[in-house]
Amino acid sequence: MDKEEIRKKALQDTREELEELNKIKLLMKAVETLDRMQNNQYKQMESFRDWYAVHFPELEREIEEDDQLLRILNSKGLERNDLDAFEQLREGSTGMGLEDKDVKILENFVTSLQSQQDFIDDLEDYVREIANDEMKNLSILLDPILAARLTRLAGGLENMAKKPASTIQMLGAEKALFRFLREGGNPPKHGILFEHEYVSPLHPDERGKMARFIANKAVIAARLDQYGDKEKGEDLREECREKFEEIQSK
Amino acid sequence: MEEIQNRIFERGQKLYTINANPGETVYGENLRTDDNTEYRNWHPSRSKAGAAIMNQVELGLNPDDEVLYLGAASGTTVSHFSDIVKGGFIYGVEYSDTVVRDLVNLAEERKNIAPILGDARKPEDYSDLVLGQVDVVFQDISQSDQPEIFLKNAEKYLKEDGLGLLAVKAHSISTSRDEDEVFDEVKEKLKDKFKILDQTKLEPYEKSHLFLKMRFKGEKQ
Repeated sequence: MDKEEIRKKALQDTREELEELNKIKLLMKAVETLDRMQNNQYKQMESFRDWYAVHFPELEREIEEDDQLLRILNSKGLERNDLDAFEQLREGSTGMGLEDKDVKILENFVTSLQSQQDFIDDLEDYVREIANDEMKNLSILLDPILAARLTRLAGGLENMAKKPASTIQMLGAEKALFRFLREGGNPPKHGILFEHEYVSPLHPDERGKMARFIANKAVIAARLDQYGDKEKGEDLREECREKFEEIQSK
Repeated sequence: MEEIQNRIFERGQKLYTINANPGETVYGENLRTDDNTEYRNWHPSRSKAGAAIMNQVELGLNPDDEVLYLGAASGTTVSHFSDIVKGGFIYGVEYSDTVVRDLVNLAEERKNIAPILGDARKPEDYSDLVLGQVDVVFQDISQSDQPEIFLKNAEKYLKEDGLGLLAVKAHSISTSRDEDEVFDEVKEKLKDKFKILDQTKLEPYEKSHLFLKMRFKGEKQ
């Protein structure tokens, strides 16, 4: 091959690889976006609540669920006088009255928040579905969203399958881990695995043990998802549940 | 324009290479025409090789050299190498598919670059493209096993007496140990196979980086 042929071949090979459909890559992008948008939504919701409380602080305080607050304001309107269902709250309200212009802009805010929330919900369903299809064991063991997050941190399912469990246990705790390596102190017990339903309810002293156990099982699950039997998720989850109960009952 | 090294130019404290693809910029660098020749400004803070030159390293690239470039990324430094080794060839290996897209576009426009999406830890993966031996192996990869990766590739592809250029990032190898200790350890690993010709830190352009220029001993010891 002369150099021109080599260049052409390299270009073609690389292009083929880039263009090939890769569900795990899509999953990682989706879950990254999901987390970022969710985070954004919390912040925007906070601004909205702060603003709306100027008009109807009693309702803002009463309805703690963001979803619920949006639904009420979207269907009934956000002016105090339109919200007959909350008559008691409205009586003696300390909120400020609003002019049409002020109502209009808040209504637009609600609409925008609602449509973002709808998209976030769709995106979450999408992530769950792809995670379930592409990494069944891991999704059953961890829950599909956590499985997707962990996979993204590991740089893909194949990468995760090749990593040691100790690395998986630390994913998401890089900052604490490197601080420990640099300055000493206590090593982190868990990274993102803290979110697992068998880790976060435990006493802090027990969480490290449980996170280590789950990390071990998660690596097995990832390896099976990548290279082997896709039907081992329930067994692995059962092992974790037993360990969880054992630790909890101590 | 003063040619301070083979096909590398300086004017007013700034580095330049002759634009092999006139009229086009690669990463937003400035173009400048002097005596009917178009030059591209080479940013030392964007390129470790550029930083090394600013710190008086004589790169040692020849216009006909074949270069195996590990960690090509989006092709910032590769584009300047492509200007320098006008009659040579560059094999650009990059692991991340996000940045390799830019490298593909670069290689579409420049005849002396082959983009390879691959893992430099496995040099055998690109043996269907890198045929024969190269004159230079250049590496800019921030990985803890970067000296091992460098050795593997040199042993497979670098010709005897070939040139090895390596940017070592201390923080990729250890965040807790002193950088000089890390650099010594890297040099220790390389010294059986390489004779170190030059070693220069890349401050102020890069923190805790050492640039090594080496001669490959090959199989003769």
